[in-house]
Amino acid sequence: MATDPFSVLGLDENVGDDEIKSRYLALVREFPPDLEPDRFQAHRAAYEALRTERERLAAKLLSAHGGALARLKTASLPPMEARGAARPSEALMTALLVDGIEQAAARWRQADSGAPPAEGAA
Amino acid sequence: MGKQNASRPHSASSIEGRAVEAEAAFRLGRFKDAIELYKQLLKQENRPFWRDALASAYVGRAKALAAKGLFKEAEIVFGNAISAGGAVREPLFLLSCLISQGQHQKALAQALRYVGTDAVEPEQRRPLSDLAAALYLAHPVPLARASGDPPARVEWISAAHAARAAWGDLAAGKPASEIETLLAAIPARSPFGPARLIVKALLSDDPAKARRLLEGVAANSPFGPFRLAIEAVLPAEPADRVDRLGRASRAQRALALACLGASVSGPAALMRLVEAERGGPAALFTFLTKQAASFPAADVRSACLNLLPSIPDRIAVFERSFGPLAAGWKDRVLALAAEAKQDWRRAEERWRIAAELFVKDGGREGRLSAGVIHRHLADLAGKEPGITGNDPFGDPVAFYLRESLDCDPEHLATALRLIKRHRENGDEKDWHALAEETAYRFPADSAALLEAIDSAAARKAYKMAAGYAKKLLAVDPINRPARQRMIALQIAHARKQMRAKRADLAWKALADANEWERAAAPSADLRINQGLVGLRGGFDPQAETRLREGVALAGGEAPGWFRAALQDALATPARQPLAAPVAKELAAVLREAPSRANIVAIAALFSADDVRADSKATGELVWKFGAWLRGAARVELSMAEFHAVADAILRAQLFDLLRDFAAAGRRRDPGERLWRFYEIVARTQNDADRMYQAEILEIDALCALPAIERDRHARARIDRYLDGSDDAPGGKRRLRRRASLDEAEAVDVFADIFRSFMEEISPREVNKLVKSRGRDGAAPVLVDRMAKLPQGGALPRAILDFMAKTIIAMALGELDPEF
Repeated sequence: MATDPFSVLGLDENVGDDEIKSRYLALVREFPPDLEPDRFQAHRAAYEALRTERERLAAKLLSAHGGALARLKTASLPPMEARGAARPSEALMTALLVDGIEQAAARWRQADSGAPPAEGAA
Repeated sequence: MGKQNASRPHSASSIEGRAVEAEAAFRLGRFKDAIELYKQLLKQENRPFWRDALASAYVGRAKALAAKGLFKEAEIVFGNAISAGGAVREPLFLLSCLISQGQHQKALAQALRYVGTDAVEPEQRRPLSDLAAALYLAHPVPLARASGDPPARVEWISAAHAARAAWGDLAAGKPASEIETLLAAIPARSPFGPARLIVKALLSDDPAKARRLLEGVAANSPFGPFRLAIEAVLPAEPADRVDRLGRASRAQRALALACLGASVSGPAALMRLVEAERGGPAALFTFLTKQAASFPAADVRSACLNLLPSIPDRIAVFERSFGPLAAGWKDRVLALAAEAKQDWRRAEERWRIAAELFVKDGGREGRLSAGVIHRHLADLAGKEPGITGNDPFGDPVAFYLRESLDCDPEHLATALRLIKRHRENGDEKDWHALAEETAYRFPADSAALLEAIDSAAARKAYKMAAGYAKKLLAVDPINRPARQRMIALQIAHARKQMRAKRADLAWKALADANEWERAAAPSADLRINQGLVGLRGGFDPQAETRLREGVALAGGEAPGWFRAALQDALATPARQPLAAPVAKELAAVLREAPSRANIVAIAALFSADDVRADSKATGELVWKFGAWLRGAARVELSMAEFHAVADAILRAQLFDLLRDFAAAGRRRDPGERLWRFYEIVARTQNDADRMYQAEILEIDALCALPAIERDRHARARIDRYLDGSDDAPGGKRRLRRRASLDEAEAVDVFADIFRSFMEEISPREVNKLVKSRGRDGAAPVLVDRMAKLPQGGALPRAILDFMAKTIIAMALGELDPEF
């Protein structure tokens, strides 16, 4: 997950107080603290980090944040309606299975040798 | 190990001895030796236990080889294990060796031998079946049922046929209804269950249903990557989707692309972006500058700008692509780049230039930005000694906080932080000035007003402090500590007036304080002082009644009258007798033997700040308390209670009394080591310099005790003794003496370094430099040169600059070389 506050809230660096507040409240409605406590904490922390003009300036000046890059990626996301338009080829399905088989084999071997298990898939 | 171990089996005198040796070799992980020994044993006698042990040794050896990445060798050794032991051992391990070599078909063939049979240990059956299912779907082979197959194997094979057919039909684009019929033949708990769920999720148009189905596929199973690939294309928060697609492997991203339709341009662009990001900041920067046209221009520029601190050499490329950077931003990039390299000197230099340019740029945002930068430098200076500020001998944190406040005077948090810093540094003048300025600027802020109260009280401007307290109570009327503070300030002001022989003004101050007293929480000190002022001023017939009320509120009897006596002593000039009723009652109290509760309560009174601060006024009472305690050394006090009592005894300099208490305490409780500490304090008359060597060792041992390490009060008490920072005479003197010694040592160290520079850089060389570069140009060259010398690397640049200018002045004959 992104850690810089602009990326977490999905906001531009030049937004004002009102936009930040309304975006934060929208996220709280979407991910309420009782259902998504971790996500709420992340949103809250990002909101606190951008709440005032000085804090926003500090976030902009003092770190090489990835807000713009996150926005570029989000802009490149495909529309969700596109899903289901095509089916994967057999070769692609085999490639994914091979990935899974190799990861599982590596995990067993490492568990056997007492080493920490490998990272999960992807 | 080779020769020695190889000869060991032949040296065993008997079969049993060799068996013991083989077992030991196995236990110690010397599998090669164990294999040799068990082979020899089996040649002599074919015991089933040894056959099993040999098979186990082969497995151990195979695992050791696999751990070194020798999978082929491990596979060969593992083959021996099976033939020697008969039973199949840890087939999953063999499969993992084969898969690691890319021999998936061979792995499948091995797996199919065991699927649905009892030939493997029960805990390995399910993972083996799951792996075999994935291997079969990836590399299908003809499968047929045999007549004697157990039911589990028959079930596995029929599910395999259905899953394989569904898998193929899905890829071939056959209708969902046909595929669903095939999927129905796969039991949910079958090893092909995950494949069934994946196909169903791919066929489903309902994202929520697809997500629910995928939850049934374990992320760490061989089908896990499939699950993550499909999840990456399900609707979610954009940030989550970006994150998932960003973490996806090449195959997973390809599946996402396929699911989203190759015609959609978005995913391809995203994948290219993610690929470029994986190549590092330089690769991403190049990609973005080349692809600028395909993305929103402002975001591309901002993304590139934020990559520059990692690749500062690309600033020129950036400016060519996006135009010149605004004032201050280039230095901000260079400052962040220097921070990343932990080059603090350069980071400080660049941040300061950036702040200057932001201010010059004018406007509110420029000033706020400079304030932010200076606060950042203050934070850095607190952590990094390389950040030095303007004055190498000053406090860089305070310097940068001041700079920040100059740029952004409305930032209350900075003002409060700087006030705290001044207080800690003992910069009284700056503290008081800033506290007043802050209270003026933020008249409705309770934190600012509290600071102003503290500052005014510290300089004994009690009336002013009371004024701030009044403002604070106007802002926050139910603030109980503020009310108590207000009363304490008015009492302090009344004492000041009493000392100035203005009982009428003192009476007025106490009447003002009365307003802040709550009926439910009457103040003992206020009543006592009202009684005392009334008695001394002679204008209140109820004075003695008030005094006695106050004494009763303060605990009555000994604690109450000691408190009244202390209040009276603080309000009257030194050596003036106590007010008559107080003197009479105190004399009566002192005739009684002290009890434990009274001793503890009165010792606490002597620990109060105002009593400690005015030792001249309260000295006689401290002495009286100490004298009163002379008959009380046997009173049982715990160590926690005794610390405060000991402080009072030390202030009265009654070292023999302290010794008596400590000796009695030690007899009573030999396990409490701090009694011995107090014996040492008494013997040395509270002067750690008088300790014997043996006593120093005793204190060292005491400090190392875990109980003392955990006891904050005891540690602080011992530290005060060792530092000589007690109230006792001599303590502060010793501190001053040590401080002056430290200063002298520091001057000596600098003088040595300076002399070594003078030896390295000749006056002729300096003269030449001054002629060629001018006086101002020569200094930085000398600074750079000194910084490269072994002694100069650790010195702040400002000190080096001072030394360079001194060397130049000496070379030019402006300063005496003896300077």
